[in-house]
Formats: sequence, structure tokens, C-alpha cells
Amino acid sequence: MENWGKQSPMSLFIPLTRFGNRLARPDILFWLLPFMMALLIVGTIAQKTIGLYAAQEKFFGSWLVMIGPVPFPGGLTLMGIFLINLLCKFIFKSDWSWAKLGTILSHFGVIVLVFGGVMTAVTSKEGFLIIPQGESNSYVEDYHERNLVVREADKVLVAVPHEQLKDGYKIAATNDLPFDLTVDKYCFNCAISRRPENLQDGWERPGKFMMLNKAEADPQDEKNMTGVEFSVFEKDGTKLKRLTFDGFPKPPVISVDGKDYKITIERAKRPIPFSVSLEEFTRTLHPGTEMASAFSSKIVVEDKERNVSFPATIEMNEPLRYRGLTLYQSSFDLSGEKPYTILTVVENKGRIFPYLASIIIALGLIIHLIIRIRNTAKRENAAK
Amino acid sequence: MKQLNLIVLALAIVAGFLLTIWLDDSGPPAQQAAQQSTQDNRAPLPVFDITALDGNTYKISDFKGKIVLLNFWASWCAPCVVEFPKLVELAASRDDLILIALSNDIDKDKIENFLAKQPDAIKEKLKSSNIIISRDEGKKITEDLFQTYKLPETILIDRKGRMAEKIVGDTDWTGEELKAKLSKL
Amino acid sequence: MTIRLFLHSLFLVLFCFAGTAFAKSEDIDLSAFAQIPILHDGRIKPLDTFARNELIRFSGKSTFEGQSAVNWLAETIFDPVASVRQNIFKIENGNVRHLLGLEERKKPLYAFTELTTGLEKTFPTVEQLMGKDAKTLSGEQKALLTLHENALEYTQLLRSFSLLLPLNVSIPSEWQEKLDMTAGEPATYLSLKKIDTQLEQQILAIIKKKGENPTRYTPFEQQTAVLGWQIKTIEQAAQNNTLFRVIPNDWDKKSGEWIAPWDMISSGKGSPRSAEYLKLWQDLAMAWQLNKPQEWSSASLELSYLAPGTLSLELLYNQIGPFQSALIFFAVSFLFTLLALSLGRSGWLIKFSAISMLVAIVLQGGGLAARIILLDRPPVGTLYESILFVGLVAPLFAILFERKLKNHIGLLCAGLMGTGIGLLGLSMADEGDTMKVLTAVLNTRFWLTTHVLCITIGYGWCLVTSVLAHMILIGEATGKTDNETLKSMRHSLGTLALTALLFTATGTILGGVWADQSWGRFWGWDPKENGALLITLWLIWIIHGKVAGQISPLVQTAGLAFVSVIVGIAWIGVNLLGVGLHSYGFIEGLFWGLGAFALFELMLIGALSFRISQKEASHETA
Repeated sequence: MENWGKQSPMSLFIPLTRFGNRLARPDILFWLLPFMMALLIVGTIAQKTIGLYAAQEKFFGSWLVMIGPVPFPGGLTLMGIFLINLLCKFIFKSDWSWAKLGTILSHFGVIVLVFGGVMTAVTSKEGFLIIPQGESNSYVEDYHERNLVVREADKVLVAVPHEQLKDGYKIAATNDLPFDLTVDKYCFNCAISRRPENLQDGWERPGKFMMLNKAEADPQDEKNMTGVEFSVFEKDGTKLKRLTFDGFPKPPVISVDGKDYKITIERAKRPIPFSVSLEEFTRTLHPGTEMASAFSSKIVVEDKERNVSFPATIEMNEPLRYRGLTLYQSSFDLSGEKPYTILTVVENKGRIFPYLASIIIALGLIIHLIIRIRNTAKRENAAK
Repeated sequence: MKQLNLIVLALAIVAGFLLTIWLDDSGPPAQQAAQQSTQDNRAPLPVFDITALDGNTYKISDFKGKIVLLNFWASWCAPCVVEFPKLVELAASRDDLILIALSNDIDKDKIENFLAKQPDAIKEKLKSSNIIISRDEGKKITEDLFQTYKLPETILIDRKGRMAEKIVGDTDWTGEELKAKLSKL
Repeated sequence: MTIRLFLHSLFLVLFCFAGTAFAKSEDIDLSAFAQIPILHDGRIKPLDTFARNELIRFSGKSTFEGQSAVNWLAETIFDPVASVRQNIFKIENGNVRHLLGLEERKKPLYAFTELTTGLEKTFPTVEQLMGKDAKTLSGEQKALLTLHENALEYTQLLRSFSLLLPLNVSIPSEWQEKLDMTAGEPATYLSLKKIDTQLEQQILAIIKKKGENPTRYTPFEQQTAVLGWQIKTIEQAAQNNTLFRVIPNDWDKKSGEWIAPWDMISSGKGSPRSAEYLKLWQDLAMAWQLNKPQEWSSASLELSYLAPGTLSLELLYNQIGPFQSALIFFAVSFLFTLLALSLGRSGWLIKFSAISMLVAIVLQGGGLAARIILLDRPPVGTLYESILFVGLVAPLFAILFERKLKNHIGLLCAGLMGTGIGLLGLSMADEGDTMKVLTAVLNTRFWLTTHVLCITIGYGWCLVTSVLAHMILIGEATGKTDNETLKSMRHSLGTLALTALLFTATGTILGGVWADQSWGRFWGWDPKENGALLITLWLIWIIHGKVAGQISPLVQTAGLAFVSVIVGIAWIGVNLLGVGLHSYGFIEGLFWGLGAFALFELMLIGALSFRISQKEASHETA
């Protein structure tokens, strides 16, 4: 035990050091790892039924998870304990010596990796950019966040995230919004059926014949079609019943005093600091088959802020990095008149840390192996 | 407490941040070299003779130095009939181009009837020396040599006597896209 | 797919084509024919590979009645009349046989002629089945569906050259003149096409004059009508015939597309060069039908020049079957080492085993090298290929530590792993062509070489670690290995475990880096990523436990032995989930096999450890 205690200004460090040393013990890791492995197994098998995104949220991105009737620490809790254990080990108990160089480097690398993970979890924003050929776009739509949006011309008056929506949710009229809106029915994933006669009162086309029903969430999160049936109460008391959902080609428009208010369900949109226009999307097939061998989008980036404009090609496995954003070729749609390219746009301040960590960890492990092998050889030579 | 370790860790994290900021601010990526398309892929034209309706014979190699449109057609083929006047207009408008309209009709009369029914403007243009109407006896050139079984088909042949492209069916002979194609021959 | 397709095709074949009058002579040399290139499933392969795969698909075997697959292929495309009577369709499911009204026989192999009625009858059922999700179908339904798909593929083969084969027609002399045919020259669809329009006009005139009742026609008119009808029938049967892509597309060289003869005629893709090739195929067909070895050889040689140089390598690969052969040598080596160790003798048993091992490794390595050349990409792109690769590296690593320990344990491990992994590969190889082209996301040599190879080497190294751990457990439990050897084995085990950790951890991280480059996120909790992480965590757990004194050497050895199950789950098991980017779908046999393996290992390791702990306890009390 170090003799920090001898100097009085350092006396504060004694309990800290002792605490740190306790936290640095390897038995914590020993008991932690089986929990991590168990969570990993359960969380992976669960993906078969609830899908990747839901499993991620439930098991790996949470602090506590209920596995059946049993409460179990979630991914964040386990990672948290792991990080503290490793940090303490590194700070309090890792003497630099040539013999231990390899292990210390590896531990160091893992800390950087986990730190990168934390940065990513906190700062990463993912979304997609849909661009029809010959057009441009500078708004990224979120993959998962959906909002109920009321717009007048181009101005967004109300945007409610889907987590807050439920049956009976009320939006009150304001200076800008001349009517009250009540959500009668909210479904995270809606199935459309024909509206029976007895429920058609008060509805106009298309809601008169179309009804939204709550359906089970699809394991593939992007496939969930969120929708609402709502009532609008105008200033004179008339009640209008309408419905809208994600991807509805003709969202309802309420006209009051000559202004049109459009009500939609849409993925949360974020602007990016430049616009991307698609010149050409090409899909190359393996000859004589319907299997794609490559996708590429020829685009032009226009950055008005910096007065820069340049062409680029985004292909599978070859993204474009510009101004902290990375654009990937993720999907496409060739079913319509024009081809559409779908690019994934990721902003992640922690993206460099895994690379740094990988190098450090690999270096550490290799050095450790070399030292071990050299020691073995020395021992064998000495024995001879 | 290992102060050194703490410093090393902090340094690594700061380095990471600095790197991130530097990358975030970076300019547009280096330009990717444009890819050249090769013209060397063109296959040479086989050798064959053509006998025009007026009795003159030509070797296909006689036309080197000019663009040749080798058009396979017949009077009983509806899209060929639609396409014919457009081709004639195109050929009449350029003197660097030869149109060879090779008919699959069974006998000469059918072709002559068809030509007689054309509007006067087209008949005038047909007199140009760069339009050759011919009949493929026994479908030897169309089917045996060129494996053409569906009409119309037009082969674009460049000035060096190489086949550049085949256009299956009728197309916009007066449009920009075709002009661009012809300019590459 | 028209509902009358199967009967139609059969009808066409039996009534339109003149069959061969002669049996094929022994002099027809198929070696050049086997090398002729064909585009299939996205890559150029020799007819030999294509024929084998198709024959395996229909009959389960790569030979038919003692003859090679290319022989069967030549018969099918050049002599469809004979081919439809050959018993090549294997129907193992008894219910399906019953459904199709087939007789029971010793070997359930049936000819196309026997199947057509049944296929037509069951077609409505199959139409319904096609719309359903594959996971919900019963075994019988899947078998029926597969049979229909196979029969459809077969009809495509039958009709591939219907445009060139001699027709069973009598041509009136008037038409013969117009056709400019020499007497005795057979009529084919292509030659009849010349008078196509004239025939049509003539038939219309006949119908106008005499109506549609053929009994009122003169013999000439009847023959004319028949000719017209035959041309139409052949044309109709040839729709969508795109399977036999043997002619390069001159007009679109960039895409690398090759076209089937019928497709060429009907889609306007013909060119002077393709006409030449088609002529060669015509010569080939005639040479086969008239049994002319000379003409056959020259035409097939000419066509084989189209093949890229690597195709002859593929032929060699097919003939040798390197992985099946390697499996035999691995097994031989294992048995001999086992024999040597249990008899306590060395000498020539070990020498023989070592030579066998060497041959096995050369074959396995050679097979992989051949695949790299043939596919022009790094060797691991599919699950099957990862098995092949581990089947090379695991024995190799075992040999490495054999050189260290020198007690033949390494040789034994190598033999065991080579055999075990080889058998696993064999069970997965029967789906026809294992040399597949890859989807767009895998179309990157760099990552296939770095991440995939690193992770696969990691799997291999983990397996070697596991097998050595097993050896230590068995040696200690049975008392057959002395303490000195055990000590050095344990030390090697520690080094092996660390190396395994190095490769697995690096491979996992490289996977993350690739994911970041391709999809924008380093870690997505994808099942395969989780699997690799699981192995890494397990290794860390065991290694740390030992270092920190939490677990005894026995538990460490047992834990490292159990890595085999962990690797099995991560490597094969995750694919069964059918989720995420790496899934290959549920294969029932693999699921039960994996479960049985896990259970077996648990019991084995458990029993051995128990025995050892008993021994240690009794030693302490003694």
C-alpha cells in the first residue's frame, strides 16, 4: 500500500485510494462476465421475436431488464460496472513494467473503446436521406423517431413525438393554431381495414371507408406504420374526423380563414448543413441473375455556407465523409418512374475512438504474447 | 494512485477529440478519377454484298469513312413502316451517313408497292445517293449472318467499319440521344 | 409459367423431334465439351460443373448409370427424345410419390415422361404453396415444390436447343424449293423460319378458302398447316428460355452477360459472331445425333476456346474433389495416430500418419487455393467456405504445437479436427454449386481478407485450444499422461488461449470497423457480432479467472475445453436464428446437431473433471 498518508494534504486520498483499490479487484470482473454473457445470449435470442431494434432497447440499452419474472441488470448497468472496475484497475493498480506492458496496454485500449461507446451512445444521430434521381434533398429523416406534425405552409406549428401520443391526447388551440385537436385512436403500428357502416358518422373520404386498427409491432422497426385517428374542433364548434399515418400520400388538410393546415405523421426531420443532389443511381447485377453486385450513387454536394460544391460517388462499402457527417449507400427504390437512392447519414463524435482502441488493444495483446513466448524460451534454455 | 496512467488516458481521449474535430472540419474529399469508356470493344463488320433494287451491287466495305445505318425491315412489319420515313429524313439530312434499308420481303413487288405509297416528300428524299434500298434474298444476311429474327433492327456502324451498337425496334431517330450516339461513330 | 407447360414440353419433345437412330458410340470424346463455358448463377463455369450441379439437383448423384454428368447433359440438350425417358428424378418423399401416382420401386428414380401427368395435376396446389412463407411449409410440401422447380428447370434444358434440332416433319417439295435445302438435309426451326411469313400467308389463305377443318384440305395443304403449327408450337414452348447461357453478348460486353440461344433469337441480341457460335452448336448437335466423333471433337474444341484459362483448373478441381479426398486422409491420419498412442508404439505408424496428414493439408490447401483462383476473391465469403478454411487452419495450428510438444498429441488433434470439420463441411455441401458469387455488401476484397480471415483463424485457434484442453483432461483423468507432459501441455494451453483471444478480439473489432465503414455504426448487436463477442468474453473470463486466482487449473482447462461449444454457437448457431445481417436461415439438421454436440461436450467435460477432482482429492488425503 502506498504511503500517501504521510503527507497531510494528501490525507484525503487514503479512503479514496482504498476505495479505488477495492473497486479495482479482479473478482468484480469475474462475477460480472457471466452476467454479461447471459444477457448477450438472452438478448440475441429475443431478436428472433421482437426484432433487432426492440431487443437493443430492452436488453442492451437499458439499466434494468425483466427476464420473465426475474429482474436482471441491463446492458448499461453491466457496462458501467465494467468501466469503473477497469478504470480503477488502470488508475490504482497498474504499475508500468516491461513484463506487464502488454496487459496494461490492452486494458488501456479497452477503456478507450468503452469510452468511445459512451461517446457514440450520447452523440450519435442516425437518419436517412431519400433523393430521387435528378433532385436534391437536405433533410435527414430519423429511422425511428416519428412525430405528429401540424404545418401551415412551410411552418411547423406543432410536433409531438410518438412516445407521447396516446388515445385521448389533446392539442390545444393557440394563436397560430385555430383549432383543438384530440387524438381518438393512436396506433404505433396500424393495420388498415374497411370502416363499417355504423362508425362512418362524421367522417369524410377517405376516412369514411378506411379505418386504422392497432396492430402488433413489427420486429423490423422501420416497417411500423404509425398513425392516428383524430377529431378537430373548429371555433364554431363543428367536429371534423380525420385520419393520417406515416406515408399517407394525401394527408388531411384543415382550412380555416383561408389558411391550410396540413396534419401528418412523419419521421423526425433534421436539416444538414449542405444539400445533396442525385445525378445517377446505378445498380449492377451479377450477369444473368437478379442478385446485385454493386450499388452506387453519383451525387453533387452543395455547401452554401462554405461556398463549396463538388461531385462524389457513394458506393456500398465506400461512404462519403464531409463536415462530421458520413453518408452511406444503404438502400434504393427502383419501383417508380425515377430511381430513388436512400443514403444513411450518421453523425457520431465518438467514431474515432474504436479505431484508436483497436490499435492499442491489438498492440497490447501482441506484446503480451511475445513477452510470454520469450519468457518460456528463456526458462527452457535455463533448464537445459 | 498512478498519476502517469491517468495522464496517459486523458491524453488519449483528448487526442481522440482533437482528431475528431480536425476530421469534422475537413474539406471535400479528393476527386475520383473519371472513368474512360473504351471504344475498342467494337466488333468488325463481316464482309457481304448488297444488291440494291435498282440493280447496283455494293460491298459493305465500300462505305468505310462514313457512318452506316444498316436497317433490317419488311413491308409487313408495322413498326418498320412507322420508322421508315424517319430514317429517310435522317439520312437525307446528313451527307456523312449512309442508310442501307435491307428488306425481308418475299418479293420485290411488295417493296415497290410500299415505296410507291410513301408521301411525295419522302419519295423525293429517296432519290438521295446515300439511301440504298435492298432486298435480302433468302434472308441470308438478316438471319444467317446477323441472327436477326425480330424486325426492325438497326446496326450503327462507325466510320472504321466496326459495329458500335444495335438498336432493336423503332426509336427516336430525330432526338438528341441519337445525335449524341451518331457523333461518337 | 403456363399451366400446360409440362405436358406441352413433353408433347413437343416426343412429337416434334426426330430421335437418334443410333446409340452413342464410345468414340465421342467429351473432354473438350466439358470445358465449354456457360454463365450460370452469376459466374462463368465449365459445362462440367453445370452438368454435375444440375444432375445432383435432380437425382442426388453426379453420375447417371455409370456415365459422367456432361454425358447426361449432352443427351438432354441434343437428344431430348431419349432423355425424357431416363430415370433421373429422385423423389424420396413417399407422400409425394403417391400424390403423383407413381409406382413404387427399389430406387425412387423416375423419368420425366412418368412425371408429367402428376405434375399437371398437382400444379394448382403448388401455385398456392408458392405464395406462402417458406418457414410454414411441411416437409412434404417443400418436397413437392422442389420437384416442380426441378421439373421446370429440366424443361428449360430440354428446350434449349429446340431451335437447332432436326424436326420430325415431312416437307412438301414446293416448300423445299423455297427453302433452298439440299435433299436429305434435316429441317430445323431456324431453317423453317425462312419461310415463316410465306407459310403464315398461305395458311390464312387456306383457312379463308376452306375453313379450319383439316379433313377438307389437300395433302399439301395439310402438310403446310402442320409445318406452320409446328413452328408456332416450338416458339411458344421457348418463351423465357434463359437457362443455357452459352453465347457471349456482343452488344453488351461490359455487363459480362451471356445469352441462351432462344433468348438471343427472341430478344434481338444476335450478332455475326453469335451466329458463328450458334453454327458451332448446330454442328455439335448434328455430330451427336449422327454419331460423328470427328465433327464432334472439332466443334467442341472450337467452342471450348471461349473459356477463360481458369476453367480447365475447375475441371481438375471437380475431378479431384479436394475436400472430400482431404477428409479421407485426415481420418486415416487420426486413426493411425490413435492406434500408435493406444498401443504405446511409435515408428512407422506415426510416420504413416504424418504422411497422411501432409497429404490432407496439401489437398485442403490446394482446394482453397483453387477456389481463390476460380472465384477471383478471398477464400471465405459464405458459411460453407468458412468451414473449409477452418478445416485447413485448425489442423495446421495443431501441427505447430505438435512440433513444440513432440508427443504426437498435436498430430492426434490435427487428425481429429480435420476429420470433424471436414464432415461438417460435407454435410453442408450437397446443395449443388458451392462456388457462389457474393452480394453487394460482401463485394470488398479488403474486408474479406482482413476481418473474415481474422475471425475464422480465431475460430480455428479456439478449436485447437479446446481440443488440447480435452487431451489434458483425458490424459489426467485416465492417468495415461505423466505430470511433466501435463505441465508443458498446460503451459502451451495458456499460450494457445491467449493467441485465440488475440485473433478473436481483433477479428471482432475489425468486424466493427467494417460495419462502421459500411453502415455507419461500429456495433449493432447483430447476432453474429454478439456471437464473436461471446467467444471473446468467455476467453477473457477463463484467462482472467486463472490469473486472478479465482479458478483452479482444472476449472480453467474445463472452461477452455468448453470453448468448442461457444464457438459452435457463435459460428453456426447464430445463423439459425434467421435474424440480422448474417443469417442463412434455419437448417433443422444443424440445430439438432449443435444441441447434441453441446450436450455431449457438457457430459464429457463434466465427467472428466469430476473424475480428476476425485483423483486430486484422493491424492491429497493420501
